[in-house]
Amino acid sequence: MSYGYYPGCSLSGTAKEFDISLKKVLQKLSVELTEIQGWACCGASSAHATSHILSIALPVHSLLLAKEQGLKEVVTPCAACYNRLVNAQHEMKDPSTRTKVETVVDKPYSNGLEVLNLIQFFNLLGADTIKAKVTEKLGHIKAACYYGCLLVRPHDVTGFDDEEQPRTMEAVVEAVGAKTVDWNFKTECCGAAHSIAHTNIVEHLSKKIIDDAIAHGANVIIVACPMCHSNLDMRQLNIIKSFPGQKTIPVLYLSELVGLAMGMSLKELAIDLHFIKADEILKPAEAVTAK
Amino acid sequence: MKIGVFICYCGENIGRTVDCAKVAQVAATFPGVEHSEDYKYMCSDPGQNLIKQAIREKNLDAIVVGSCSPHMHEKTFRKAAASAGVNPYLVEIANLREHCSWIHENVEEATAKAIDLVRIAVEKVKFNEPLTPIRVPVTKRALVIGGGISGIQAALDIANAGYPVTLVEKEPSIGGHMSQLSETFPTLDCSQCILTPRMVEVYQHPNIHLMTYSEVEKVEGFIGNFKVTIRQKARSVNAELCTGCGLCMQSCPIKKKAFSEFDEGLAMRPAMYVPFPQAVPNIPVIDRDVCTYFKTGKCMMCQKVCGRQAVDFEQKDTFITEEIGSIIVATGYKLYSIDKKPEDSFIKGYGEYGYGKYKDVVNGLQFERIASASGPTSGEILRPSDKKEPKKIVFIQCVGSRDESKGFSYCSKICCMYTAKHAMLYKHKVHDGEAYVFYMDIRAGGKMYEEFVRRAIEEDGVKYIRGRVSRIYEENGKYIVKGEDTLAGVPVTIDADMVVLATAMMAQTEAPQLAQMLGVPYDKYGFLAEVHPKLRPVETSTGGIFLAGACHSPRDIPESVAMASAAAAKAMVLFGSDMLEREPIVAKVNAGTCAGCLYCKKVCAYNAIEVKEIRNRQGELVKVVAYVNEGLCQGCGTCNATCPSKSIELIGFKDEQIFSEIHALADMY
Amino acid sequence: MDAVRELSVIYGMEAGDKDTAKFHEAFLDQIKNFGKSYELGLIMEYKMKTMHLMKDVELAPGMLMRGKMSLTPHLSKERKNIKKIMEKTKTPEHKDGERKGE
Repeated sequence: MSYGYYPGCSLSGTAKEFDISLKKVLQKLSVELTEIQGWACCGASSAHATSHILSIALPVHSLLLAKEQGLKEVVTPCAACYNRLVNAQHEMKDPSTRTKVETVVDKPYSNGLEVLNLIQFFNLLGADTIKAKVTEKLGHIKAACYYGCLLVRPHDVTGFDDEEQPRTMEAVVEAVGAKTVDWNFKTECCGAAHSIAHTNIVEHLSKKIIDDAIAHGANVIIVACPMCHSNLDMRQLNIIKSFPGQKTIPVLYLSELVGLAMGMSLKELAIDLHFIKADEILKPAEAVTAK
Repeated sequence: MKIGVFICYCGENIGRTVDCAKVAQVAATFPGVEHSEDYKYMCSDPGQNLIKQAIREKNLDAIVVGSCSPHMHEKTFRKAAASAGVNPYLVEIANLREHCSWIHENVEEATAKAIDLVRIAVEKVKFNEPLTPIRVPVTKRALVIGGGISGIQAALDIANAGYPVTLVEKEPSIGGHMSQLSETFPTLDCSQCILTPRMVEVYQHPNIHLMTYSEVEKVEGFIGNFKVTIRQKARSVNAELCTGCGLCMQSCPIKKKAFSEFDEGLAMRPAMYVPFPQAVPNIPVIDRDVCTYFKTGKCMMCQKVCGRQAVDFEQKDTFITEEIGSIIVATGYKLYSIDKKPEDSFIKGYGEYGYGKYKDVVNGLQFERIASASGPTSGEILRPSDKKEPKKIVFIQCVGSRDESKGFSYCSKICCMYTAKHAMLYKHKVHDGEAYVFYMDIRAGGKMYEEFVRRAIEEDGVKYIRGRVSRIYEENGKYIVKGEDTLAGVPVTIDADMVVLATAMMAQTEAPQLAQMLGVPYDKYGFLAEVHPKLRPVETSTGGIFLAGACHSPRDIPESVAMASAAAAKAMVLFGSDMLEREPIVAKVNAGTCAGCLYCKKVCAYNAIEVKEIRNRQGELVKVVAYVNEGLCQGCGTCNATCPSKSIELIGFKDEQIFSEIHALADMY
Repeated sequence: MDAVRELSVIYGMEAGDKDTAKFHEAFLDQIKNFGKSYELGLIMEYKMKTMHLMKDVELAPGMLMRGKMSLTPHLSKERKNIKKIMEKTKTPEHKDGERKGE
């Protein structure tokens, strides 16, 4: 079984763990990904902040390529790319927008593609299919599932889960045997693209997320977005520097957690590339409490 | 036939665009027209006198008036004709205003059109028949559905006028939501203190037949002649024998299985219960879902202790049918719940406020129970979660109201007032407490209402913040409320001990069902519809059925009481005479040609078509035909359009009449 | 909100938040040249525009060691078309508040 794949720019760079771990998991499930030939950047925040038409034209360009290459589904692990792609599909329903964008991309537009984020993709493959490959006991993992802004908002566009109290990521995490915690900051913003120009904003917002997850008993934060991961993982170093006494917590991609459940190692899943070490939580419960 | 034509200028309204003098001149030349004149204001006394005079002098048989819409003055001109001896239904109106002068600008063309309109009215009236109003008998008994403040007021008004009333209430006691309130704005009267005397009056009134724990099951008939079947649900207690001593309730061992509906889920009640101590009637009810006897056949403590052997486990629902003349619907409201709603619901619930999972985030009625001296905390303001006194309460207005994305677009009207009241009650009881109100606007339009809100702000120190709350979450036993102060332009975060949400007033869940039973229209929110929002606010389009209180739209107690009295007055208009007169513009079936296909019955929106059997002298069935109930028919004419054999006609708009109008135009062009 | 940002460019107004505006310019320049984001190019251009030369230097070795920042850009096969698209959608600048249209 093969599915179309739109990795997005960060999965070959800052978020390569996401790409690696996802592909390893799918290998175990005998699922193939067919990368869209010639895909280009979705525009991320910079396109929609400066030009409405560009922000739709860029995703549309890649979606039309997918269509031309005979793909029916497009799996998009990056939450931002997911949001831009489904938003483009949504906006293209408006006739005047459609005309303008068609002029710009110089191609007629037709829809019919299903764009899936990582959680939707796992749901499509089926909880039972994934559970069948689970070999490790992960009961000592208490995960705070962090959705960020772009997976579930705006509901009109994504049509996915509940905007205020989502539960679909918890379902996947629990399906592979880990525990989840109920916490308050599931959908609060991490600071997103302010990471470079206004790092202090990211530090403040991400610190709140980290603190709340820890306060509710989590020993790991699970994410499904490269930006969230970067802000919570890489920038955790900044936070530790700026706030002495700051408690730390490792941040895993959802695909990494699933990979761990399937018995793969930290190295295989590229978890060792994280800035915040995750070794501790992977030791079984007894060893952790003994510390 | 001698026809008189009267063209009205209606001041400038018609006269500015239509040359009325010319229309009258041309009309005088129409065949059959004996008299034609114009006048500035035909509806005025002198105008009407012109008509009467002309009828007498020229022996006119019928008249045509070119004037404003028949909606305005058809009755006026009919009466004028009648007083001069012409049957009122030999009067036709040519609408020269709404259909002509108000929608056209070119004087020549408008005048030509006006002439045509008068021409066809003249041709139609030639085929008019004299008609007499239909008379139906009236049962002088009212039914009031709903025993809250509105129902109680309506029932008392009608009963005190000397007419019998049946009051049906679905809960075990009357009183409605008003009985749950602690104090009422703007006087801060104790709610039950002002309500319970009325409740007792209802109970003791010789003219009121009170049926509690009962629901309307079926409604048949028409204005003045309804037949209503009421289901009296089984209390499992014989009301005739019960003295209300309360021993059964005390002895009931199942004290913690059911949440008290009266206390809005903040306390438990036994399986054998009355909703509140001042319940009227004070006869308990067994909740069969939690009672041990009904689940396992054991216990029966209540029966053992009852000195009057009033407990009857075998009791079944009974059905009572009553003949009713007019019905008042006073079923009230329920509050919007912030729980997560199913995907296909058009309202969404409030995930940002926790979807109802936080114990100390309560709604208005729950706060009333907390503040009430007879409530679960004996009137002390205590948090439901840990029974500690909250030192900081945040009140949030417009939860579900004025919010198209999550709830309703309308304003619930009472929340600004009761939030101010809640904040004041809190400050009166917890002097060092802090009260914050997040609002969008303050709607305090009633008498002494604005002054009431100012008192909360100026005397009781309640802090009002203009802005919405985007999120509430719990942290270490406190509720972090994140809102905005739009006037200062800053975000506001408050760590509250308790949050009170002013949730929207909405229609009862079963309101659409009841409306369908009664044949009364309702809107997308379930609120029952009035005939005309300005001039007929308590009547429904179904004759004989009136509305009172919040079942129509959100309103406070004085408005509900006023509306109830208005509905009672309307209901009693019917009782003023023994016979009811109705417009004779109804449909009529020609039984000779009717094939009994009953398509007309299918399309009749008023259930006015019945089936009649035609039998021969031997009593054998010859055929089945349609038959119009003149009491229900509203004269819409849909049946006429549907009948394949032209066997049903609308009197006053028969085919010959319509064809004559068409021919009159066709012959000209 | 984005509409207001776009209008401010059309009206030729100066950005209140200059760093973010320069970040967006730098980001979009990478896409124009390569069709995909090029982190190193982005950061270098951002630093040149803002003169925040020492920003995040301490993270650079970590990023390079982990292979998270490629020294050369990843090129999209469609980069020529992307460049065309971006030229067509370039927001026309206009001074003195005179509106030129979408």
